[in-house]
Amino acid sequence: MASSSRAQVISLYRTMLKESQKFSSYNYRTYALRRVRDAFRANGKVEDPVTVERLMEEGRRTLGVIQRQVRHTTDTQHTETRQRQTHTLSFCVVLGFCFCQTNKNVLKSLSFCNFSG
Amino acid sequence: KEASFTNCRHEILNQLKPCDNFSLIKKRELEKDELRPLYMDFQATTPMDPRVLDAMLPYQVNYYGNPHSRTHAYGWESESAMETARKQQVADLIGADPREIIFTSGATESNNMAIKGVARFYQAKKRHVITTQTEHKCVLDSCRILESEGFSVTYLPVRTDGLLDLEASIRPDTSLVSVMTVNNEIGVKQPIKEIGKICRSKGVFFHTDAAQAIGKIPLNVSDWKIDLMSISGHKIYGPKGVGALYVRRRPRVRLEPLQNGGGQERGLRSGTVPTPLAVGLGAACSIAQQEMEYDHHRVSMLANRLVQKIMSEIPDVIMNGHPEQRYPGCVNLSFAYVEGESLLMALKDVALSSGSACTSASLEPSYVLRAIGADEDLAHSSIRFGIGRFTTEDEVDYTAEKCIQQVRRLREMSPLWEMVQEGIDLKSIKWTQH
Repeated sequence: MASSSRAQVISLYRTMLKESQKFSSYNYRTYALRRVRDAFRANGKVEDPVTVERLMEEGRRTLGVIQRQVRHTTDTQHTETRQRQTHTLSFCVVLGFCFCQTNKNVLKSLSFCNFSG
Repeated sequence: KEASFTNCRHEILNQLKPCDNFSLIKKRELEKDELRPLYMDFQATTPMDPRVLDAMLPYQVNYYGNPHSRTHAYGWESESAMETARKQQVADLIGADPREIIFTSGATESNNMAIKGVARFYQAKKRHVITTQTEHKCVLDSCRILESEGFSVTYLPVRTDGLLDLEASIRPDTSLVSVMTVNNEIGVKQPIKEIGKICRSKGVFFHTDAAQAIGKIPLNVSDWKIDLMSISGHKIYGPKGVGALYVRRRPRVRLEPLQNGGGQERGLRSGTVPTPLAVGLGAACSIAQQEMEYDHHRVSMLANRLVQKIMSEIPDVIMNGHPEQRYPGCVNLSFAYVEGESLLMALKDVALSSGSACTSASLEPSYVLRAIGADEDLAHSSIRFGIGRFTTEDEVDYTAEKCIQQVRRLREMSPLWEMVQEGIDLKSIKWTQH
């Protein structure tokens, strides 16, 4: 199994910081950002590929925790605004779907994609 | 339109520079449309770490079985989670065997179990218990109940720096010595290792309330010769309503159980073990073990920052408790010539306390401060700053500045301060009766 490249490590770091930014609680957000940054800095000099892989695994697990907890610890006042945003989003999706359906035959003939049923 | 307004608010939030103190409060305003104070009371309780909540949720939602159900998978998976929490997490943190850990509803229950349980079990031959004057209310109250049952209890005084002398008080009929590891009001660390050695050599059981210490300083029950230890979940970023009691098996400590029933937890604490809470406690302990060094370093740095800032700007500030033998995250400062309650109210956008949460309802000054020999008026004007894992530099800076500002303002208004400035010695004044 090939060990993670520098690019993958940096990509994980960036994703973790991006997700940590989404915490609505000031204390959780600042802690997550600080801890992720300090952990990556502290482990920056690690060379052994097995250790690197283990740390990357831990990082991915923590990323999952952050993503789940961002959802769960959202304040109720914020969920109101988020609901409005999702309504807008789902409206767009429905529109887009309708558009796709009407053009299904056109797309089929161009054989760009397969619609089953 | 509304979506774009929300986006606009997020833009503003992201652009506010964190070093701007005013923007810190504004940030909270924008986030919540209401002012919520900064939390600087980590000794009262701690917010749950998101990783702990993440570990607990599956057991609240999907894996809801009773861990004592032996006949089906729901029981088996709950039991397995509970045992993992017991073994890999709690026991590992303190260097104990998993069979020595008993889950309870919190450190208060653990303290009650330890003190009443041990004293009552050995009451035929041993009728003496030793504790200190700076213990938590639950320990002191349990001892009071024992006194009413006919035991004799010695409440050891502490020196002005909070440390104590033990050896002389141990009698041949002493069954238990109870000394807390880190005090919740002044942060003083007792010399547990020495006390443990003395107790072991005299054949007396040693109980310590480690609620504030666990996960923050390295503890080992074998090195320190501890026989019983109380653990609290919500002081180490875990859930509220769970704790543990460590009960040594070699040499065996016998307890009379407080709660009888189906014989769970080795018969010492019957009742269904709340799996999600136990899992949460386990997760909190394992995270604490990983993060101990990082957190300790950071908390020390922040505490120094706070104390240096305050003490360099205003005179007549006293730190209660020993300056070195302490846990840095609990800073108790007395501001002379300023009344504690009015300072707390002036600092209403920082959540602080003067003394412990369980005594905050009473008007009397803290008994801990009285025990360390603080003057009556200094005991009234003390504030406890609690710093923890989630505290930021901005919060500490804001707290320090606000505190300095308000102390100056309150001192301006204080006639005592005026007199002191004129060089009058307050102790020499004869106050007349009106």
